[in-house]
Amino acid sequence: MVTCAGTSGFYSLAGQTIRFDPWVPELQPFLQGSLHCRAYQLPSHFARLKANSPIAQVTGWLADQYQTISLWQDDSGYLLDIPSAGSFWTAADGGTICQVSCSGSTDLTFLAEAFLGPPLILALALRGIWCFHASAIEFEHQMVAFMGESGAGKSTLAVYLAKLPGVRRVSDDILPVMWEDGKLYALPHFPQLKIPQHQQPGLGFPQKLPLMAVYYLDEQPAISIKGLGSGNSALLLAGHTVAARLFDRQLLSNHFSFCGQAAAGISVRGLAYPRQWTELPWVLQALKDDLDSVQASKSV
Amino acid sequence: MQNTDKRITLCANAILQEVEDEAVLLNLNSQHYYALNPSGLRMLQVLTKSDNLEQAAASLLDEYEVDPAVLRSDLQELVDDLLAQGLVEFI
Repeated sequence: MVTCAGTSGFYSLAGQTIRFDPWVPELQPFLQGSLHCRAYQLPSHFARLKANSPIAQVTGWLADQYQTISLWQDDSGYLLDIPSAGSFWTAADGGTICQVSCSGSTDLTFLAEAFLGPPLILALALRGIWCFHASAIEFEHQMVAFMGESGAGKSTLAVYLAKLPGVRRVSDDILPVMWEDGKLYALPHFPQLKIPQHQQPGLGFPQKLPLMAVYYLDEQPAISIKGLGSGNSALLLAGHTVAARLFDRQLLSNHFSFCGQAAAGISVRGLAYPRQWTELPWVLQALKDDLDSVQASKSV
Repeated sequence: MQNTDKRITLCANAILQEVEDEAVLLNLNSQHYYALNPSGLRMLQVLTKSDNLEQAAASLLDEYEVDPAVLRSDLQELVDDLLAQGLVEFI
C-alpha cells in the first residue's frame, strides 16, 4: 500500500464503518471522521488485474446512464470499472472503497452515485448485508418494506403514507438488511440519494430494526393482501436485491442462503391497491390489520 | 418416459434451498433462480434418491392418489424444465 495527499472519509452506513477514498461530500450526514491521507494500492496492481478477463460484465442503468460495468477480483478485493465514473476498488473485507482512476467526470453527485452503487453494494455484501430495492415505513413500532417493479409506486406509497399520523418513512429506494439471531433486520442508516442530505429519513431511527414484513405492490382497483408462497417469496427477495448480478459464486451462494432464511423468517405479502390519495388511509388500515393477523398466526 | 434407466442428480453448479415446504434452486453459472412448490420439491427429493425415473414415479404413486399417466407426465415435465435450466443432470 502507498499513501498520497488527499482526504479519506469514514462513514457509518448500514451499521458498518466504511472508508471512502476520496471522501464524498454528499455523504456528510453519515460522516464519522476523516483522515488527511489517502490509501491506495499500487496502480500497477490494478493494471495487472485488468490484464485478465473480468469475472463479470453487467449492463444496466447507473446515474441515469446505461452502461456496462466490468468486475475483476483477486485476494485484495474487487475492481469495478464504471465507464462514466472511473475505476473503484472494494477491499475484500468490505471496509474500504477507493476511486482508483476517474473518467473525467467532475460531477460530485454523479461520483456519489457511483460510489454508492456497485462498489458499496459489494462492500456490504462482503459483510453479509444485502440491499433490497425497496422503500420502507414505520408505524406503531413496526417496520414494513414495499417492493415492486420499476414504476410500481414504492417510493410514492412510502411518501404518501408517511403523511398520515403516526407513520414515518424509513427508506425511499434502497433498504439494507441483514439476518441475525434468527431475525431479519433493516439497517436504516443509509443514504437515499434522491432525498436532500438534511432530510435523510433513516437517520431518525436506530441503527438496526426488525423488519416485520415485505409487501409486493400491485396496482388494482380494490385493496387486498395475500400471502405469497415461501418459494416465490425467496425468489422475490432475490430478484429485488440491488446489484446481485455482480456477485461472484461465493456471494451468490451466501445471498441465496440469506433469501431462503429471510423468506422463511418474515412474511412476504402481495399488496393490491388503487393508486389514489383518498384510498391511502384504507391501505394503512389494511396493513395494520394484516400485520395483526400475521403476528397472531405466528404466536399460535 | 425418457432416460428412464438413469439417475437424476443436482448439477455441481446448482444449489437448492428448502424454504418451509417449498424450495428454490439457483444456477450459479446463469444466476437464474427457480422455485419449486411443495409437489415439485417432493418430486425432486424422490427423483434424487431413486435409481431412475420409473422408480421415482413408482415411489410417488405410493404417496399420491393420482392417475399414473398424469404423474408420469408431471414428473417428466419437471425433469425437462430442470434439465433446460441446467439444474439437474442424468448420471
